[in-house]
Amino acid sequence: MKLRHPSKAVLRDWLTGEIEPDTTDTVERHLDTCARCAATLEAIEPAPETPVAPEALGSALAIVLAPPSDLAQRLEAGVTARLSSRQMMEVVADLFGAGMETTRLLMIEGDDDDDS
Amino acid sequence: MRPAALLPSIQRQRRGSARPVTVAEPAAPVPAAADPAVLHRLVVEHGDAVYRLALSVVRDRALAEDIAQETMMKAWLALPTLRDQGSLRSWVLRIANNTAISTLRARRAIAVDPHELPEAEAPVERSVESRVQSDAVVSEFVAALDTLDELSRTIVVLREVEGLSYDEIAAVLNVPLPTVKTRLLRARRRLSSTLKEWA
Ligand SMILES: [Zn+2]
Repeated sequence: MKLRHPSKAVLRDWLTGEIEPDTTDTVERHLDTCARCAATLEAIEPAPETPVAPEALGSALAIVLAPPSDLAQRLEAGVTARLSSRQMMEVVADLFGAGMETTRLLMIEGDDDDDS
Repeated sequence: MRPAALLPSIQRQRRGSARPVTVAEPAAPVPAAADPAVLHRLVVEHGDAVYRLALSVVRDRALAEDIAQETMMKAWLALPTLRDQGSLRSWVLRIANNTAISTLRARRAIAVDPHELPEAEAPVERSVESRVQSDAVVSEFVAALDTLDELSRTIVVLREVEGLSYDEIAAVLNVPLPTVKTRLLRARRRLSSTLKEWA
């Protein structure tokens, strides 16, 4: 990739979203690796708006993404219920990159009703 | 033993009880490391953060819960392989992000119209807390959130809600540091402009 920095105008457009999708990709690929343009972006003055409290954004996000109040119980029950031996072996095999035979050895007990 | 037949009764039994109930007849053998107390800690300490991260990627509450469940199962089973227990939170969030991304990819692959799924309106469902805000104000914020790509949403949530450092975010999401900084900057500016009306 060429080391061509996007102009300040293009960077400003990227910030506000007034930019073509194709250009967005190019700009973002550049921004992935260019610390200099990251600094340039930071130096671009934000639009003069009423300043919001630093924690306001976090609170708003927490509100719109709020989990169900009984999430922990539901997850715990759900995980426990899902652990049929077959599913579990698949998950373990996937995680460890192990074969099913190796995975079988990782289990405390054999699969008592599904052996073939 | 018929695990499938057991599931509804287990779920009924568990629903509404504050503490985990020991299932009398386990549906499956459990690996040595899978201690129920460890699962309990995982879901209590990291469940909410995992769910928020998943929801910021997929924007569908039911799907986010499925992803959270799968994440917790993977984390619980793989925990013994984690050498540095101090990095537990980052590690769990990394599993959650990978699970959410692959779920989203799978969904997009089967969707007729790639822009059709997942449902974008889901986060507008009101939580109890959000009812103090007017619908219009919340909708404007959600709309601004939806103009961002998944990666940017995830970055801003990990920073502003979970309080992760830039380096931690880069590690969790497996993206370069400048990406974290620039996406965060843009997300903050776009979202903050809709926050003036928030009480
Ligand atoms: Zn540059």
